[in-house]
Amino acid sequence: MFELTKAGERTYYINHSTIIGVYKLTDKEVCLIDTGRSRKDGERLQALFEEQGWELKFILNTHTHIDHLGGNEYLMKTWGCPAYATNIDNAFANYENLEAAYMYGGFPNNTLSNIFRHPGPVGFRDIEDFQLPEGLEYIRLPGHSFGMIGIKTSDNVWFIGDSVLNSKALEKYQFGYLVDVAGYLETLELLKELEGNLFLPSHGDIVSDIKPLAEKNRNNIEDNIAGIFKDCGTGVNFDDLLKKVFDRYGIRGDMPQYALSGSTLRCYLSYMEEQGLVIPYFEDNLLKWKQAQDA
Amino acid sequence: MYELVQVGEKSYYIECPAKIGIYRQTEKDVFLIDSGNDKDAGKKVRKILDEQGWNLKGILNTHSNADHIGGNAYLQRQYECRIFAGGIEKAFTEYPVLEPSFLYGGYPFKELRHKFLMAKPSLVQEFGSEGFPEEVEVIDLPGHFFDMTGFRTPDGTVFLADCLSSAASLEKYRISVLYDAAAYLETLDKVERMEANIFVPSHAQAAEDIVPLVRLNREKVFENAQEIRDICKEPVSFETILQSLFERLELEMNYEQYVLVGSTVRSYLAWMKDQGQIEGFFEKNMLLWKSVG
Repeated sequence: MFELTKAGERTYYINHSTIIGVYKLTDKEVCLIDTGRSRKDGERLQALFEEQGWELKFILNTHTHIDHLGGNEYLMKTWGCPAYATNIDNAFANYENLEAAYMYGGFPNNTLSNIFRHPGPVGFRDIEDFQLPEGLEYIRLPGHSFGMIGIKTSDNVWFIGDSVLNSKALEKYQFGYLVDVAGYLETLELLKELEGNLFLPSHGDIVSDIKPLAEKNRNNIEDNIAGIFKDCGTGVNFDDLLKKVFDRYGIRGDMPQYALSGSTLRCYLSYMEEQGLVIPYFEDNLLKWKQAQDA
Repeated sequence: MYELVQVGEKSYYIECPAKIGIYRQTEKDVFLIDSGNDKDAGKKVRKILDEQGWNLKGILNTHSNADHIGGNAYLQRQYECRIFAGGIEKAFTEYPVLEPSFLYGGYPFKELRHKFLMAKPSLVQEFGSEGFPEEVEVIDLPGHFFDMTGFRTPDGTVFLADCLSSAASLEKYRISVLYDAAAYLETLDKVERMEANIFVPSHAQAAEDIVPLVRLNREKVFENAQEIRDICKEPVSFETILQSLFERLELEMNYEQYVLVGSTVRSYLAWMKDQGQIEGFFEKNMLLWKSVG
């Protein structure tokens, strides 16, 4: 059974592997912020609603990665209620294999399409077309996904999705998934400016002051960049660069990691080129990345 | 270039690198099938429509590749017209950064954020929504791209989008861009059985008999799969496969080709892996591909 923690007068959360927010719109009516990683989590939420006598009105998704969308379909059907995310993130929710195809850069093989399969067109709606009820607001926090958002409740509680890695992850797994390094860094700066009583990153480290964690994340990104920069040296191809990333961070290479870390590495390289740090070039029909002369 | 060619009572195309189809619904009102490479293509379309005294009611996009939706933004501004696309193609047309992102497998670097691969965004509606010409049949043609479609106009003209490369371009480029090889082959079977007064492929000559070109395109898929299997006789990593393929096919490498052919090869590898013709395994933390048997 899910256990509720009170974070404010009307705001609760469930400290699950992916944090789930519950906001009371009225005495009886609630909305959810994310829904965990599986249908089972949806069923657990349903049990909780029954126990509390709550009615679910809608779901807000910080972003549409599968470990946040888990209970969406079950709860949407059970309550006949809508689920919202940003329109570009909905593209990834609505098309079962788009995330896998994007990360891999081509048609995903069975292993990838099974692991990263999205719900498909079960009725996600664009949050841009939704007038959020009083007490709730959202801001864009792009970087980890194309259209991620953070959600603030009237209790000054912020649900900030996967905009930061928690301290444990920063020690253990520094090469966090992202789609846009520039966006990710801007989001970290934006987090530092946010006012709030409590900040809830989706994977833990609930804090009243997000600045130190945002700063640690910025340092982590900079360390990752420095590592890749060193790896590029006088010219290295992508396969060798990815192997170096796997080796450095102790990641065991397998098909899902090839897609996740591979895609993330490609994003770093794009950003580093933009920053004038590395240069792509072709040598005998092979694409290589090297350090820029004046970097 | 940019001549107007009539192919049916109500159907035309504009001759250009990615043919733009025209369906004339009434004396004055027309729909485009795709909108060309870029803003310039859009301007040329506008000139032709003006000369004919036609009004643009809407654009039907076969798929979201930049050379097919490039004129969308300009023409939508000029005519305030509706644009229709299906499924995932709608999302890619609204968020054009998705095309180079998908082809590369991550946020695209500068050389990929070019109009060849990334059009200007336009506002899109699903096929069949308000303003869609109901008498035009939408034909699913997946394979080359996610949810690509063709269109059949009431006079029996079928616009085939990118199902088929021309013989000349197969000779020159050898490998046609595709996303889903299995779906592509099924689409070729479907096109081979299709009846029409005339077929208009975007990148090949319009023809009454399309069967020979379908067969040529199908043969190429199997030839390319065989090339990749030959390259993978010894375990090799992806970048090396791509390099070897460019050498074998005598292709010229550039950034556009790196992602277009690169993505296509990744898709071939997935297809062959799922069929058990090739395996992908990790050795010393590097993914290697090897032919089976």
